[in-house]
Amino acid sequence: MNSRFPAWVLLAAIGTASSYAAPFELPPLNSPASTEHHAGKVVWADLVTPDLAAAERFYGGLFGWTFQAVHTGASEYAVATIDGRPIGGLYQKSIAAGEHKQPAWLTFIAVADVDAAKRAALGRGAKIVSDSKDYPMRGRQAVLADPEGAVFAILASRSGDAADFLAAPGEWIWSSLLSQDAAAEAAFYQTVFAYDVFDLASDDGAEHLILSSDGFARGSVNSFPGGAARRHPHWLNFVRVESTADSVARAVALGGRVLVEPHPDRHGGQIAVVADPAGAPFGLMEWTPGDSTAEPK
Amino acid sequence: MMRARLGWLTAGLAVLALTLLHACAVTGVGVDGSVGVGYDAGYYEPWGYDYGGWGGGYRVGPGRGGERRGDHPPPRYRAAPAGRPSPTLPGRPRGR
Repeated sequence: MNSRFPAWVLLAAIGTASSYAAPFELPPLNSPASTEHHAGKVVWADLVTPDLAAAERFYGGLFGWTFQAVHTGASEYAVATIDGRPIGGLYQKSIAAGEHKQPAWLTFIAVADVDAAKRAALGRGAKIVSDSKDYPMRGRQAVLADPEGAVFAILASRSGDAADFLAAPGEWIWSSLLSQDAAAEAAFYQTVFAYDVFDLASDDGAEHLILSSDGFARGSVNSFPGGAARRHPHWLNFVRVESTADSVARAVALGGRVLVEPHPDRHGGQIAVVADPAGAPFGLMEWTPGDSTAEPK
Repeated sequence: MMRARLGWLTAGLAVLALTLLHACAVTGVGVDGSVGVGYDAGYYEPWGYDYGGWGGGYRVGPGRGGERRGDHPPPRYRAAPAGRPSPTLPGRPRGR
């Protein structure tokens, strides 16, 4: 009996080891693959959260997202989809007791060549958070911190980049970088992504810079407003909603909290900023169709 | 007796191999140019954001296109030519 027991252990160990060693297979961004490439476009977002199940309940209830689990070894990851289209990932990572960490959505910006973009970024003062890495189906990516410390990812998608359509409700529609020095940050991102930069007039005198590629607005760089006590630069992504007020109420009912109350923004629609139950902030934005008529190139 | 010891030794080596493979999976060995095993993008920001001060004329969203350009001091970035209208979002819905 004793001589058989080690064989059991051996089989169990081999089985478990092979599961740990299996590649972490992130699905492609586009299926079927796109033939388009849009450097500078925000093409993905990954949430890092301590409680994947709670995050799925929240975002599923708020936006109608559904989730496809990707469990491999120690990694717990789920792909969020809407109408069958993958729009983001949720990654579970524990936070040690007593540690204060900020769950957040990581913004992925498309590039043609991750290593070239990384070199350009490092040459302008960026730092590597997670170095270049290939994921067989997703593509090659790296996570960087810009000169002010705002973290973002660059991604060369193996399945191309989605065509330039108006985001549907429940999809990401906009990304804003909140920064100390908007002009300096815009210069950095222009170097890395070759953006056209537009300075828009503002009522309060704060810099509101639009980053553009392929003739479309891809995101903004804003200086922090006056009165913000804790100013850690970061990217903030917005989901398009039919009614910002209704979505805020639903977010609160699902355990989220309001960071910025609904109010009109430049385009005339309402925006708000909320946090999910773990504290990850994101924006809500109304966008009335038909008011932007630009066609994809 | 000898066979039992050999079995335990084999099991011990297997557990050691498991530990090593687990370590590789969690940390993602071979940082540059490697193929993904674990997931490397799991990064927590420093705790606490502050969203005070939004309101009044503070704007972060896209315009509808063609907005008036700002008049901030000469920038450190290359500003888009003054004659070009400011951009907006794509307007075509998916499937059309």
